[in-house]
Amino acid sequence: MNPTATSIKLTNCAKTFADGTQALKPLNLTVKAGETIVLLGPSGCGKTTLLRIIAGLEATDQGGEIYFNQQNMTSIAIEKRNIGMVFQSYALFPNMSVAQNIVYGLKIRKLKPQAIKQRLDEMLEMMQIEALAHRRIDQLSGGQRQRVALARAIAVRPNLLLLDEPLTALDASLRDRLRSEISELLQKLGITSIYVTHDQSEAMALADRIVVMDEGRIVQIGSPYDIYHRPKNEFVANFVGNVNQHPHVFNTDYLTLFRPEDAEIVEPSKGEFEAKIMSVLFLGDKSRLTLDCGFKKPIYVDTTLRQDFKTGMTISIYVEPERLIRLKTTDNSSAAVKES
Amino acid sequence: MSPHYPRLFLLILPAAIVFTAFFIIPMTRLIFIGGTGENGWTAYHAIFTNSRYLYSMIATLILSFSVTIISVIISTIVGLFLVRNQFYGRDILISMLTFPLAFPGVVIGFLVILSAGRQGLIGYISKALTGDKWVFAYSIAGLFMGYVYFSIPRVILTVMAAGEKLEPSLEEAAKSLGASPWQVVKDIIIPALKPGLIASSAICFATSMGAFGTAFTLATNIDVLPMTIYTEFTLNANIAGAASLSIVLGLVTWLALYIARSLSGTSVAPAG
Ligand SMILES: Nc1ncnc2c1ncn2[C@@H]1O[C@H](COP(=O)(O)OP(=O)(O)OP(=O)(O)O)[C@@H](O)[C@H]1O
Ligand SMILES: [Mg+2]
Repeated sequence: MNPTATSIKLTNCAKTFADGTQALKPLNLTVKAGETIVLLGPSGCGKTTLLRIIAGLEATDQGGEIYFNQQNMTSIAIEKRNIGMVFQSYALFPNMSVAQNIVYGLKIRKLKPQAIKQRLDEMLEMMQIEALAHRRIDQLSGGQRQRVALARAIAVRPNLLLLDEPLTALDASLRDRLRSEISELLQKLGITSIYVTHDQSEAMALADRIVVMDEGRIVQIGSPYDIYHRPKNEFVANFVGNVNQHPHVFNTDYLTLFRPEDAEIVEPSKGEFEAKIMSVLFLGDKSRLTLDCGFKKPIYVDTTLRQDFKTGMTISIYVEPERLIRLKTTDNSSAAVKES
Repeated sequence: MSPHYPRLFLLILPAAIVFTAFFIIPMTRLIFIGGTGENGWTAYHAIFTNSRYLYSMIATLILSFSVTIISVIISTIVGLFLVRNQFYGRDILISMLTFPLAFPGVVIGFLVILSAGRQGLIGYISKALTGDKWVFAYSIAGLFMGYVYFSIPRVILTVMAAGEKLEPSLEEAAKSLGASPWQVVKDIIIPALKPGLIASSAICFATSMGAFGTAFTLATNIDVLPMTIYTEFTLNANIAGAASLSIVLGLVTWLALYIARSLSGTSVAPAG
């Protein structure tokens, strides 16, 4: 881990905009030094607002406080926070070349020309953009722009790296490639990072811990594994993947859910319930079956069985008890977690 | 390819007619009239040899240049402020700022006299404060004031149009990299506004070079070139002189704008 990595602590941070919109309810969050946190949630839930408060682009409401390594940064301006930021729109300076963009923060910090040159070469090599150093920004592809934006943000050796949906503007295959590159980069650098996305697979791939947000609140904080397999409520369960409501295990206090891949197709004698196949989506490595079991919502089941399922067939389903997700039905309103 | 030619010709025709009728024919005549005086083609030399002409030309250039600089500085600050800040009465203020656009030079001159003339507000206030009555409406300073007054709205409108297109994330990125507010202005905002600023400076400069009404109303002690042309034409009946001065005025203004444009071209080119 990077010895200079910074820990972050937010206490009681809320945000009410001038027009009265309460984008964030008061929340607490701790990020360990060197950790990669992903803020995940639907559009408008306040991810960007939270990131901007941490960056210092927005002030938190009265009463909120922000600490970097126990140092109170609440009233410190963004330019003094020594952060690196990557924007969804890249925000590269159009009046500067690739190289000038990358060294901009170093020039501001008045590094010696020699040190600047050395850092520039290091960044160009790390991001594999040596050949682009003298290009203008409008001569770059989207993926290349994203690399330059990353290089520019990490060139200053920031205490904290903030990324707001950096891959959203790219096409799917490039997104996958850059995602693993960013993942490796964050591992290697060991900088404390906060990454915003509304894409659950991106969150799973990158995060040490995921912070799931909804309507200005933090709903759950946990490792990708925890969030996926032990969601706190129905919202989280649905947001990070598909879930089905179990048709037979039913109880007014608990909601019993299971994920499509946790259902097994078994012999009729071993099944918990029977269902009719409504449609089959063959995906190569697996098939997704849409089932009707007399319940108002259809049930989705993923199977890797090498069997040619046909619409109209009736099959038996079994879900192992430890794979069931049980949620208290009254839990939704008190779901917001308090972290100390 | 050939079937396209008739259509292309039709499209070019209106432009060609306008260009010929309103530009080439009168200009050519003007150039020749300039050479028909008793001194022949040496009339074009007079701008350098006749000290009154030369003086008038230099005064006009200096005036227009300083009006441009001051107007651009004031308008950039005001324009950016108006783009960035929402406050009560902002829309009315903006529409009032553009009010002088409709005024002819005479009205501008009249306004200058009202504020800096012998009975003017500025004189009244300065008398009360310092005991001296400041009257500068009838000097080059009055002219300067009038020109700045009618230049500012034009530049403000351009700055506001460019300022609204400024991407906020660029400034935020610069700040995140440690740039102070002044460095953000210098490295991000000014370069982004530059094309607009150059275009509006050019218009501002050209308008100041050719403005007549204000100078005529104020009847200042120093003649700007359009006034000199007017004097030659009406009072001295020196038609050839007036024509040659007009051509020179046009050429000098065009040259200044050309230089400004090419300067801006080189400085926005990619740097290594
Ligand atoms: N400057 C602002 N003034 C008023 N309301 C705002 C402002 N910025 C954001 N909001 C509101 O605050 C809420 C949270 O916005 P935010 O941008 O943080 O959402 P987000 O989670 O980043 O969404 P997305 O995934 O769409 O980017 C939204 O309801 C939004 O409309
Ligand atoms: Mg956002």
